[in-house]
Amino acid sequence: MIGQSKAMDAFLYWYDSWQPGSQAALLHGGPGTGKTSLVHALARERSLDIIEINASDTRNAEAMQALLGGASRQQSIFRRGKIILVDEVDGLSGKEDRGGVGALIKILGESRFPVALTANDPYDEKLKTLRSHVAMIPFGKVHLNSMVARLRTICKIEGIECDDDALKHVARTSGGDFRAALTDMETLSIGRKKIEKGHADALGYREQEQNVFEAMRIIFKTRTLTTAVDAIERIDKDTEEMFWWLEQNITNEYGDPQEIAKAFEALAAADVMHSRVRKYQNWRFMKYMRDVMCGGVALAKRGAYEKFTRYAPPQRLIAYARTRARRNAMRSACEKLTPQVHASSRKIVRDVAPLLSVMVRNDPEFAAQLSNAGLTEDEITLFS
Amino acid sequence: MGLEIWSEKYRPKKLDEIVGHKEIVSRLKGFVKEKGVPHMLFAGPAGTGKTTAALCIAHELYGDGWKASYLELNASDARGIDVIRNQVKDFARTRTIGNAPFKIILLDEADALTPEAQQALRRTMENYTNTTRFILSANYSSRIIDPIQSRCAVFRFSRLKAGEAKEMLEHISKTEGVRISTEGLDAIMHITEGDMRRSINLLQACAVHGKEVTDESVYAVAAQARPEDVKEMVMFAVERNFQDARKKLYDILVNQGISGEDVVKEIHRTIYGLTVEEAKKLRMIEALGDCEFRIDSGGDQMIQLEAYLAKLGVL
Repeated sequence: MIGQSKAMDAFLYWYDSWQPGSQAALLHGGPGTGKTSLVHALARERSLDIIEINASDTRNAEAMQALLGGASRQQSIFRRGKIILVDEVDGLSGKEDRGGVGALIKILGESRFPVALTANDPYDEKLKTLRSHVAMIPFGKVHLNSMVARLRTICKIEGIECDDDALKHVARTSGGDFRAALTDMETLSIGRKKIEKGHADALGYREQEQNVFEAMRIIFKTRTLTTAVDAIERIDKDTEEMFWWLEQNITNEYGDPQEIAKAFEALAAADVMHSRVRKYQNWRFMKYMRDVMCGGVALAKRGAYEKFTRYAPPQRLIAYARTRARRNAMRSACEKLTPQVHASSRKIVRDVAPLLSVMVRNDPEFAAQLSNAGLTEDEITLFS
Repeated sequence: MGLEIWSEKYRPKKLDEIVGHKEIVSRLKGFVKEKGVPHMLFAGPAGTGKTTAALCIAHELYGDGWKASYLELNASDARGIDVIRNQVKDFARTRTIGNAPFKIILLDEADALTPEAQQALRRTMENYTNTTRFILSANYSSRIIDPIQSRCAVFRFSRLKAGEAKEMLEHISKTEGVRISTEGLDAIMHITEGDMRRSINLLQACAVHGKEVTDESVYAVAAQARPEDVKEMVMFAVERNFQDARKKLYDILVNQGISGEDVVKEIHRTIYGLTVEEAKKLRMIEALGDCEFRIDSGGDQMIQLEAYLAKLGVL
C-alpha cells in the first residue's frame, strides 16, 4: 500500500477483532485512494476467499439478498476464511434503492463473515441509516511523495525510464488519485521507452483529448454503472459524440461475440432514446441515452480485460461529417422537385434520386430536364 | 417543360383511372358527386395511391383551375407545426374560386408530426373547417392521435395486387415503346414490393439504360443492395466474423449509398435461402423485425444494423 498507514491499521484491527455480530467496515475516500486495493491485499495476504459485489449493479433488495444472503452464511469450500466486499455503496441511488440499503443492513447483521463496504462519499443522505451500522475507516488523498516513489517502482518493473520531474508532474495533476496517475503514466508510455519532462507537459495541453481516452478506458474497464456514466459526465464532449467513440472502440476492447452483441444492443437501445430526443425535442430524454450507452457498454463484459487497449477516434463520425455537405445539398436539390413529384424531399432522396442518377448518366436529356425543374448546375452534378 | 418522370406522367387524373381500391374509389366518387368531402385520413404503405387519390379529387372537383384550390404540404419537409399553420392560414384565407364550397389541403406524411404538433393541427383543422378540408396521409394510422382520427373518414390503402401493378407497368411499357420480359416485370415487383412510384421509376430508369428490359437489367439498375453483398454480410455475421460483416455494412451504406430500409428488405429475402437451421432463421427474422421497427421510428440505420449483425453471432 502507498501511504494510508492509519487506514491500514484501522482496517487490520477491525478484521482481526471481527466476530459474527460485529459491525461491517465502511472504507471511504476519494477515487483511487486504495480502498478496494486494501481489501484485495488483505485477502491475498491471508489467503481469504473474496466475494465481491458491486452495489451499483445490484439495485434492489431481492438481488442483494440473492447475491449476498447465501454467501454471508455458507462456509467457504476449503474452509478458508472469507471476506465480503460490497463496492461503491454510494452507487445506490434514488428511491427504488431504499430497499437495497435496507437489505444490505439486514445482511450485515446476519453475516457470519466480515463485510467491507466502500464509498466515495459516506455522508450522502441515502447512506444515513447505514452509517450507524458500520465502522468508518477514512482514506486520505495519496501523498505526493509516496505516489512518486511508487510510480518510480512501477516504471522500473515495466522497463520504462522516466524523468523524476515528469513523475512529479503526473502525481501532482492526479489530485491524490493514484489510479488516475497510473492511467496517465500508462498513456505517456505508449510507444516510448523513455518518458521525459516535456512529455508530461503535453498531458496538460491535450487535456480534452486525453480525457476522451481516459473516459473510454474507464467505461471499457469498469463494471459499474455510476463509474461509467461519471466518466462521460466529466468530460467536455456531448453525449452524441461519445456515442460514436464507444461504437468505434467496442471491437477494440471486447473479443467475445456475446459481449460484442450485448454492447451493440446497448448502443441500439441508446439510439432509440436518442431518436425520441430528436422527435419530441425533449432533452430530458438525453440522460437515458447517456446511461444506457455507457452502462450498457460497460456491463456488456463478463470481466475487465487486463490489457492495454489503444482507443481510436470514431472513423464514422469523420466520414459522416465529410459526406454531410453532400447529403444536405442532395436534400435541398430534391426539395425543389417536391411540387412535381408530389412527395417529400426525404422520399425523393431515398426512392427517386438513385434512379434519376441512372437516367442522367444514360441520357443527357435528363440533365436538361433537371435544369428546367429549377436545379442549379452544381445540384445536377450531384446526380451524375 | 419540366421533368418528365413516368410516375407523374402516368399518374391517374380521374378517380376512375385508379388501379385497384374499388371500394375506396366508389366512396370517394360519391363525395365528389355530392360536393361534400369530409376530412379524411388515407393510411397505407408508400406507392399505393394515397396522393393520387387526393389529386384526383382535386381534379374532379375543381377542373383545370385545381391548383388554386389545392395545397400540398409535407409534414416531413415543413420545419415544425408553426410553418404548417402559417401556410394553412395563408391558403385558407382567400375565397374559393368557382362553385366548390371549400379548398383541399393534403398533408402528406402526417405521421411524421409529434403528438403535440398533431394537437395543434387539430385546432387548425377546426378553425378553418368552413373553408377547407384536410386529407392527411400516413403510413401508419396508429401514429395519428385519436382526436384527429375521430374527425376524419379513414381509408386504408393496401398494397396493389401483383396482377394490377404488372398490368399498369405493361401499359406504360407499350405506350413508351419499351420491350419488357415477364422476368423483368417480376424482378421489378420483387424489388419494389408493389410500391407503384418506385416500380414505374425503376421501369423508366431501365428503359433509359437499354431498349430491352430484362431481369438482369432490372437488378443492374436497381439502386438497392445487390443480393450477393447482403448475403455475404449476413454470412460473415452468422459465422461470428463480426469485423468483416461490419466492414461490408459500412461499404453498403456509406460507399454504395444504399438505404438501411433497403438493406433490411434484402436481408429478409436472403434469410430464407440460407443454410442454417430453420429455428434459427425464425430468430433471425424476429430480430430483423425489431431492427426495422427501430430504424423506421427514427433510429440510426448504421447502429441498428450493426447491433443486428452482432446479434446474429449469438442467436
